[in-house]
Amino acid sequence: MFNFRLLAPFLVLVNFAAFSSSTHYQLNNYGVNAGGSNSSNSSTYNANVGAGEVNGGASSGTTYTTKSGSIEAQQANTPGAPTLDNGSGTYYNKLKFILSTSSNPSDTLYSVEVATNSGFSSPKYVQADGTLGASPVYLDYATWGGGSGFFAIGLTSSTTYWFKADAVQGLFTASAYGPSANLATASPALSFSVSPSTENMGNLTAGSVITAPSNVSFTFSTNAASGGNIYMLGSNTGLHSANTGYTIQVSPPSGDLSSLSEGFGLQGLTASSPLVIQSPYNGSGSTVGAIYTSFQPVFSAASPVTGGTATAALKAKATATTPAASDYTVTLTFVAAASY
Amino acid sequence: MHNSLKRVRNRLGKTGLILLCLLFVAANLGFLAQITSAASLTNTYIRLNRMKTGTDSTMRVVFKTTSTGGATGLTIDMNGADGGLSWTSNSGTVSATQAITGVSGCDVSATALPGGSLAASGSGAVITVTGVTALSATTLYCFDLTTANSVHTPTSAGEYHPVITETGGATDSVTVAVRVVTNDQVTVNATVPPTFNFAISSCAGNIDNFTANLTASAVTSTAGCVVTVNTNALNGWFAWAKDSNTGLHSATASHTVASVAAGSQSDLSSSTGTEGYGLGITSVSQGGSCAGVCGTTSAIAAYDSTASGGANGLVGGVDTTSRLIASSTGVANGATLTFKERANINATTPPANDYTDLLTLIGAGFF
Repeated sequence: MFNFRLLAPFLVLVNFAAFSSSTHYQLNNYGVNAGGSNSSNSSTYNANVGAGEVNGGASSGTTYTTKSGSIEAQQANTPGAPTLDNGSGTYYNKLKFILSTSSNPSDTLYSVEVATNSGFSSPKYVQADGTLGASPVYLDYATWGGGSGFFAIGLTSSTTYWFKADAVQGLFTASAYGPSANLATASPALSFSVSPSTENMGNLTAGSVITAPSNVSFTFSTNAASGGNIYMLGSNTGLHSANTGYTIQVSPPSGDLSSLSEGFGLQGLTASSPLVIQSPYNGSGSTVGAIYTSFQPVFSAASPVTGGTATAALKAKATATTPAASDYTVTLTFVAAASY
Repeated sequence: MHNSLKRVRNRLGKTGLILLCLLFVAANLGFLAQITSAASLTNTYIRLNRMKTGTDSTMRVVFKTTSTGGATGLTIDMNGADGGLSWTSNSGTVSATQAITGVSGCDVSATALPGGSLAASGSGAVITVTGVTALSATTLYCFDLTTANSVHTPTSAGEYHPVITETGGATDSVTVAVRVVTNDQVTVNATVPPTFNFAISSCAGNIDNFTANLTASAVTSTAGCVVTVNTNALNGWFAWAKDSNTGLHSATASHTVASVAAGSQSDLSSSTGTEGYGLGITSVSQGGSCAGVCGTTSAIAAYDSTASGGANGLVGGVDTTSRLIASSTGVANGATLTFKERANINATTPPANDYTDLLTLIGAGFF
């Protein structure tokens, strides 16, 4: 057996087939290199030259990679497996990784290789903006978020990703990629409920602001990165009587029933963070938002919502000349959507 | 070049050359696949416009393209592919017929999905959108699927994971969650109770005396009373009048100045010196504004003496039967009727100071 390996423009390692061994060890690979000069460089190359060193013989396990030889000993330490985080099962399109520096100096640069298989076939690399690209991007530990980590984004939901990193320091050859870690992205999630299904407001005594006997209650949770909305749509623009053809309503977008002679609308009361009450439903006192026959956001969040709750009140006022009828009604449809 | 190929062919042989070509093609396909590999769409939502189980629904779709533009179509697979609930396995359906409209805004300042021949259709669990003008990169788009049964929600409540995938010049996709629930509506009911108020005023103690002694030479009128009506009766209201004596009766003289024909109008001005008696509505006011449109109040013709500002001798006859004297076509906010009694006597009418009549006026809302 005879082979050689080009380490640098001016360096050829020559290996011989006779390897020594004992009951305690076996030397798999070694070589005696030719002499050479010290490091040299020009505008087009850098050379780091060694003489008489043992040829690099790499070996690795799940938790280590070794390199022998003085040249490769100058490589950055191979990073350990990154620490991955899927937000306790909430990140559906991203994963956070925290690099393991393996005691490399702070100016060491790392690239992060990502694949959807443990063998890293068709790998991609985390880019500076967190997206995955075809070519590795080398950034230092701090730029990769340091101990706070860094998000690889644009990932597919419900998919297991393997991450591993390599390191390079100065002008030396990059280390091998270290051991990998894997974690699955979450599924997109959305839950929603609204209750009760019926609100009987009873008699609308002329001149009095009547509040429905119970608040409308909502639950809303999602892991969608951009949050989501709870929308409302009315079958009419207010309480409508088919018998009289009359509708009790406020003019859009909102109205204060304490000063208006009549009207009907919804007022958001509470919303757990990050949910917020949207205008025009964010009034106080007797100010209510109008009912539209197209969907209008009532509550919204710009980020994922965990265990979100919200309440709203329905308020109405009739005047002495509001046509009498016992069939005033409106059906409010509430739907939720989350933006992934 | 030709010679080079020939040399290669000679060395490798025909089979080898074919294999080499195949390897070249495969390598380049791999390269192309890598550089065009799909990424995840972002800022994407599907809004089912009904979330209730087993219900027809339209839907809105918003998505943001990645840095790769060029898509000319989309698919929406309601079944998804990540092991979530299956839309169609739970009796959810997708309409074969789909109407699609690009919409701008959509709460996120989206651009309307462009396409002069934008079209959509459904098959199985998949809605396919075609005719899209090549999409720009990193742009929010919105469209509505407006067919009433664009989708029919599954009968099982739960979370479903449709997948939206670009087609054409880009193949980016995203899996989103939609929720199907047992109830997505609140029905609000209310009653506006009927109101009706009918009040007589402007004649103290509801006594309406003639302003002067009756005379054979002129029509004499009472000072008048006012009826005020407030009601939320949509169809309006009515007022009726009857009297107790069918005229002005004197107990001491045992004589009655008889009413003109009940329910008919007479002009006492043209019959002075001849006994006659009746009631006339001398003015009508429509009152204030109403929540909707106020009704129009008017006197019944037989009792309408509003001509000339009420300065006339017109009366309608009264008797012991309630006669309709006025009505309104709708709700009233303080509509008023001013009514007066008028009488003529002749030269032989027995003198007495107790000529009297008791008029009963009633009203009712027409709800």
